[in-house]
Parts: sequence; C-alpha cells; structure tokens
Amino acid sequence: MPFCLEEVSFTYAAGTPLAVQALRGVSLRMEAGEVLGVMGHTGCGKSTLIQLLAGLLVPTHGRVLLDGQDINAPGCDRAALRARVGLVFQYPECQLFEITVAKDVTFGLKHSGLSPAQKEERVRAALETVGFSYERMGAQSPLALSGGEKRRVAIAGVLAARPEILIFDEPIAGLDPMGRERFLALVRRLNAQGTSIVLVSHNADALAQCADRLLVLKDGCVALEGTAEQVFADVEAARRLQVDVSTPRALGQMLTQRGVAVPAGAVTYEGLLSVLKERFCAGGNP
Amino acid sequence: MSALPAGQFFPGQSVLHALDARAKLLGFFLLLAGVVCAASLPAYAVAFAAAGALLALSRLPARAVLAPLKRLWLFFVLIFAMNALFYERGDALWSWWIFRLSKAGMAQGANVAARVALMMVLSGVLTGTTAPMEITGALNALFKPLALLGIPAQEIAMILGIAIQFIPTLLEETDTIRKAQIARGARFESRSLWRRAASLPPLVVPIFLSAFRRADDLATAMEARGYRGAANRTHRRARPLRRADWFALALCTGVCALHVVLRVCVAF
Amino acid sequence: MAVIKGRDISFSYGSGKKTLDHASIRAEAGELIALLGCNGCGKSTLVRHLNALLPLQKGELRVAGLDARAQANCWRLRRQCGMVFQNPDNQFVSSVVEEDIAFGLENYETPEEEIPTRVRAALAAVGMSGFEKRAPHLLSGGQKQRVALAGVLALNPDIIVFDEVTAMLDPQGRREVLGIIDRLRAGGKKTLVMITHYVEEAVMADRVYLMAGGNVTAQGSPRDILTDAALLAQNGLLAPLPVRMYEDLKAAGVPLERCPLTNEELVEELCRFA
Repeated sequence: MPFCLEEVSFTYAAGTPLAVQALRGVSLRMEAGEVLGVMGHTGCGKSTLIQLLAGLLVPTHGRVLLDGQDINAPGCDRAALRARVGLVFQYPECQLFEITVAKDVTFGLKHSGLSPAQKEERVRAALETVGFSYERMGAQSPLALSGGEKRRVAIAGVLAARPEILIFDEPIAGLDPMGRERFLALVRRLNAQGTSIVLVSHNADALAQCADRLLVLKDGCVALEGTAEQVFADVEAARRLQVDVSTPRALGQMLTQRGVAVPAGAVTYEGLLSVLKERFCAGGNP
Repeated sequence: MSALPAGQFFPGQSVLHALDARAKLLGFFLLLAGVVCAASLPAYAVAFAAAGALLALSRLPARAVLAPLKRLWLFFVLIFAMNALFYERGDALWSWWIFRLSKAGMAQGANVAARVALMMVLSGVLTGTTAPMEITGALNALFKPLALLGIPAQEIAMILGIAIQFIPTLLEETDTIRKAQIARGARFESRSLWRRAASLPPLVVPIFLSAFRRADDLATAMEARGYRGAANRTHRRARPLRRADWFALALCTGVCALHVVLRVCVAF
Repeated sequence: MAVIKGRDISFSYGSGKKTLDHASIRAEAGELIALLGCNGCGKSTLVRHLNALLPLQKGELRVAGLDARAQANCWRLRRQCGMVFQNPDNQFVSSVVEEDIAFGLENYETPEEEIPTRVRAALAAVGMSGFEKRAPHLLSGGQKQRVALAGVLALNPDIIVFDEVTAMLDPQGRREVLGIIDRLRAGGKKTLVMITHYVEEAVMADRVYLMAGGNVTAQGSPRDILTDAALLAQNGLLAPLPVRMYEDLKAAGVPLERCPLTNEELVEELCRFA
C-alpha cells in the first residue's frame, strides 16, 4: 500500500492575478504502517499537501499514486479511494451535524454497501476506539458534549470507515494535557493495528514521541526529511525553517553548550531521561 | 477553491481604484438606473460601450470579471427562452401547446438577459476596484440621511460591515466543511438533483452552527469593548469628495440622462 | 492594593449544574495572575464576571473599586477591564485594522481628533505599526491576537484579561503574544489575568490559581503550585517538563537540590551538579 507523491505542484486560483503556488515539486513516499509527521510554518503548504493526499485537490503538475495507481487519472474510482484514506481536519468538532452521535458516526458509511447490522458494529467499534461506550454515548446529541468529546466523536466518524491511511491536521490544537495524552495513545493504538498515519502538527514534542519519520515543509518544498533524531539534530537549521525542535532536544542542546554532552538523538522525554540517568547515576544505576 | 468567487476585489492603481467609494457607489446606482431604462439598440450600444470602457479603465483582468457570466450561461439561456416562449403580447411566430414564440417575446428575453449581464459586469467592476471595507464605509455614508426618517441607518451599516468582514472566514469554513464531508463519502458533486438536496444537511448544519457561534463570540467581544448601540458613539465627520469624484459622478449622471432620453425618443 | 477582589462567586448557566462553585479570586495592582485548569473547569466563566459579561449571581466581586453587582457599573467595568478572546477570528468588527481598533474608542465617545493618535499608539505598543490599513482576516494568528490586544490597549484599561489567547495559535504566534504579555507585565502598569491550560505559560505569572470543577483548588506562587506534581495531577494537569525530569532523576537517585521550574533552571541545576 505505498502512497506516493511524484513531483507534485499545486497553485491556487491558477491563471488569475491572485494565483498562489502552495506546493512546488514535492515528492514523497509513505510506507505501509508508518507514522509520518509533517511540520512547517503557517502557509508552508501542509494543508494543501494533505488535501492532495486525500484526493480533495488535483495537482496542477505531478501525480499522486496509491498502490501505483494515479488517483486523479480519469476512470479512477475516487469514492473507493476516499474510503481508503481518512482525513480528520483541524477542529473536526465543528463538522458534526446529526442529531445523535451514532448517526453522525454512521454518516461516512452511507455509500459503503454494508448492512445496518454491520454499520452498527462499525460504529460501536469506532466509538469504543476513541473511548466511548455505544450504549452510553450513541443516542446523545453531539451538541451536548464538551469540545474534547466532540472531537473524539468526529474522529470516530472517520474511523468507522476503517481507512488504511489516516491523516490528522493539527489534532491536538486546543486540547488540554489529558486530551493530548489520550490522543497520542489513540495514534499508537491505531498504528499498532496496522493503520498508516499522517500527523500534521506544530507540536514537536508530540511528533518526537510518535512519528517514525518527519517531513519539514518550507515555502511549498520539502526542506528536511528523516527520523525525529535526524530532523532535530541541527537545532539551528530547524529554527531557520521556522519549526520547533522537541523540548527534550532543546534541553539537550542547552546542556551540551554548557559542557554536559547530550547526544542529538535524545529527542523524547524518555530518551533524555535515560541519558541523564546514565550520566548522573553512579554506574548508570542507582 | 480553484475559481475566484464573484465580487472578488483586486488591488490596483487604476483611475477607478483611486475614486472615492461613495462616488463609485452612487455612479454605480446611476448607471444601473440607466441600464434599467435601456430598451433599444442605441441604448444598449451606449450601455455596453460604457461597461466596456469601465472594464478597460479598471485594468481588471477581464477574464476574472466576466467569469461569472460564463458560469451562468444556462441562466441566460433560460431567461431568454422563458421570455421568448411565454410572452403574451405581440404576434405569434409559432405556437404549440402552451408555448408561443413571438418577436416581442424574443426582444423581451434579449432585454432581460442583456440587463442582467450589464448589471453583473458593472457590479464586477465596482467590487473589483473597491475594497469591501470601502464599500461598507460608502454605504454607511450614503445611509446617513435615512436616520432622519427614523431608519436605524448606523446599525444597518454596522451589520453590513460585520457581514462583509465575516464573508472570507465563512467562505473558507464552508470550503473546509464541504471537503471534510466529501472525505467522509458525501457526494455533493452528484448530478442527481435529489441526491444533491439530500446531501445539504451535512453542509448547512455545521455552517449555521459555526455562524451562530461566531456571531455569539463577536457579540461578546463587542460588548466587552463597550458597545451599547449606535446612539452613544463617536460620530465621524465625512471627508469631502475630490474633483475627480465629482467629475465621475457627472459622467455617470450624463450616461443615465442619455438613457432616459433614448428611452423617450427612440422606439425599438 | 487589591484591584480584583472576588469571594464565593457561584454561577450556573441555568441547567442547574454549577459552573462556578464558591470560587474566590484576588489580584493586586500590577501583578500577573494565571488561572490554570483543564477545559471546562470554569476559568472562562469566572473571568467573564470581571467585566460584567456575566451577571454576578452569588458572591461578592469588586473590580477596580467598582461593585460588580451594580448594573450601573457595567460600562465603567468594561472600560477598566479589557479582554482578549480565544478565537482570533471572532473578535473583529471591521475589515480594516485601524477601524477595528477605533471601535472601542468610538463606543466610549472619544473625540474624533484623538482617535488616530490613540490607534497608532496602541498598534505601536503591540509591535504592529504599519498595519493600519490591512485586513484582519489576512493576518497571521499571532498578528490577529496582537491587533485584538491593541483594540483593548487603546482604551487604556487598568486590567487586561487574556482568555486562552494562545490556544489556537502556532508556536510562532504563541511566542509573539506571550512576548507582549511579558512586556506588559514588566511595564507594571496593568493588572493582568491570564487563563491557560499550558502549565509552561503559568510559569511567567506572579501568582497561580489552580481551578477544577468550578472551584479554585489551590493558589500560590508558580513555584509552589507548579512544582507540586501530585497536586497538578489531581487537577488533571501535567507538571512542567523540568519538574517531571527533576522528580524522575531524584527517584533514580540523582541528589538534585532545587526543583527547577523552567528549562533554564533545569540546565543550571544539572550543570551545577555535573
């Protein structure tokens, strides 16, 4: 199930005086089962990139390939493609519209051809995945929920279609610490079940924790690509690209400058903690 | 959004860009009145010449301004056909069942289609050369005399201003919601009218909810900044119009008057 | 001198469940206080009493010497206590920056000649000079919040409330806005109230109020509150990273002395030890 972009460019309002080129020749390959983090300053082309991946925009130049097939080729079944790729927009809680949670989560299954019993099973499973009980939650009005709960319902609505690839745009924006932890646990769980995940986020700490690979965009181009350890290795370079490095990496850099050498690979809390333990505890063990 | 929305503003330095928005708005209404009067070939010649001259003066990308016309071609065909086939007066050239094709009907159809097209070009030039906030300001100024009649002119202008300032945000949001629902399998692009109608709630409900939430937030923010109705506010004095503005207004008045004369003197 | 003095404020939105349950708050002139808590803990409801956006149902509240119970004080309260909101898009009334900033001034019948000067001064104070003619919706999130703050500063209030103003911003925008809050604090002329669920932001406050379930569950200096990982956990929050690191290293047998609050302090402590 490799997912590829081949030299993809995209221009908004092409052919008018207000044309804006959002992506410039971006190539990218995503492997099955990986978690890909996407970072970049506001307006770097992240939103355009994920909309191209989800088949919502058609590239001005270049191709988007899923399993080697051009998803925008004439004759390609777009509805089938969309069922394989799930996209959760920023603030998805604003997109709920049904009178009950269960109905809202079922919406994406409308054209799936499943029987009502199968649909209910999917909805039940999706709600359980985000930590809700179908019995307790299914009949409630989405409007009566808190912001964080609404967001989980909206995510369940995308999960119900069982996509192979899940794309999240700024999924933790506005969540409090509990909400953040819960979301990251969800990503790990989904990934363990074999779902490939694209995470677009400004939160370097969260990406360092759960992304296998990071992509940094700048002005519509891929500026940096690699594991979190590689991307955050050069703190100055990251700063020039207007992205944060993770807090543990920033701490490591500060310590190194003060003579307490910390390897650049310590990008997560656990990573930094074990380095410091080794360094400060006699013999590495208390 | 690959196509620009109708009424898009294009920043620029043309003569029309430089005119005062109040003069432009008044001139626009004068020309509209002229267009409504038009009913003969010479009158349309004048009207189309005026519209063409304005489009050229504005230095706007003609394609972008005329795009809405192209998108509405079916509408124009319909207007023409409805008038041509159902007009009651004049001799019938051909008739069958409830249809009745007449010369007068065709003339009427051409009239309506031409007027709508002219109005669209004129408004395209107005909104293309005038920033939304300038239009609101101008409306505000032109509404002021209405206050004397007991009409809450300032409130109306404020509502219009806020509505205009929210349009880009709401358009963007509509686009996002539409895409989000498409990503979940909604079929807005379906050709079946029935299916399209059935696909509206997923779009309309969130947009309404969001608009209400935004309105609520904004009302709170306005109250927090001490808003309590238009009565107890600083009243701004209007800036006088410059000579170019008066000149433009005079020209528009001239064109409008010419239309009235043509209407009275020239039969079809 | 206490500029904000609220005692036993209770409030319910009508559904019977109390959103605020005997919450008390106090702020001295010129200090920055942080209201820290999870989503839905009642922070926003509490501060909306400060400028009479919500009526006082139960309890006592005096703000800038005015009794919040008296309806007649409503407008004066709002002038003394400005507020910047969470969603940067939903607080502009005009599609041009300078007109939006003038909005509040016009509401308080500021003479027309005075308005341009005060608009310019307010924009300069938030580092947005030169943006007078721009359209707010075309600015970045951080710039929008700075313009919204300028709209408040133009009225020259004694108190400014920041209601989760960074929650919807990217890191760059957050830095911009926090930088300005810090500058205002250093100026010492305004009493500032900051609502947040980012523990790292509460570090810059003079005093932290911890809220949960409509109650103020603890208050004290950032050092007292934010280094108490157990207390924060009880309130659904996570201690700042330096605090967690300190605790974990201590548990592992590293004899660190002083619990650090910021990254700089943690580095300092570790270097001292090394």
